[in-house]
Amino acid sequence: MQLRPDIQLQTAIRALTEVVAPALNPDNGLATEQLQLVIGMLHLMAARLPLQVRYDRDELARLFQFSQALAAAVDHDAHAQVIATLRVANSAGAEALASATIKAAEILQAIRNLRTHTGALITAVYRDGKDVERDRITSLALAHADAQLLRERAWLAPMGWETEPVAMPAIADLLK
Amino acid sequence: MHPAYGAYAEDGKTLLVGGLLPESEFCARYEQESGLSIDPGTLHYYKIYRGWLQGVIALGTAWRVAHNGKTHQDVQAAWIVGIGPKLLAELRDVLAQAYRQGRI
Repeated sequence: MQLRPDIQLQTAIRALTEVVAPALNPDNGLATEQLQLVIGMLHLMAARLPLQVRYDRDELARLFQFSQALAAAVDHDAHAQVIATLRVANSAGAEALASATIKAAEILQAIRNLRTHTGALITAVYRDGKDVERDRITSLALAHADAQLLRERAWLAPMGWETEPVAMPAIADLLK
Repeated sequence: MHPAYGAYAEDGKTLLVGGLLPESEFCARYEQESGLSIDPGTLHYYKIYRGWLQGVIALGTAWRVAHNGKTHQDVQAAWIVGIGPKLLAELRDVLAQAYRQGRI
């Protein structure tokens, strides 16, 4: 198939930038602002689309490791039900990572399941767990958030929200 | 005081609150001008609260507004979602600081 998203986005951006934008009434501030945001969004999509599956697999792999570390850090008898549910999500995540034929939507679903069930375990431990368990999962959650948020910020860096954008690593390097 | 709304000084290293002053100097000037004292523990609490609140607004509220087509500026609401990870990273750093200090 020739008409793939890369050329669709490229042509849409060019039309909006070179034809539609100059034709806008400069007094229409709302239209001008929204057109610039749409063009910015399309540029971001065009830049990130080739990396999307790598990004999701990277997140799933780190969530898989995170969930295993969390399960190992808590008392299994005290949190049996939530750990059992997490293990189901963990197994599905492992299968998704191992499969060469999995669909992108299934990777995303595995990510969402692991996010839900790791969150449920953290909530349960903070509600009912021992101090030593809370200490372990706090350390693990902070480390996981550090790595994940760096990737999310690098992914979105072209939007211009970073105070120090030059210090942000390239997302492609983080996904190696 | 959020770093997301600040700017770096000419040295490229010193973060200025609102692009004005370093945080310590900003607080000292505030105390001097207002006659009020700042409790560091209370300030720390509000940094955590701020991170949580703004994270929810950016990643939850703005996303829902855009997703459900609730305004005539949905694309702008979607753009706001993009600041969410930076806000959460700041929250994560404040929580990590509290963790290192044995406060959580």
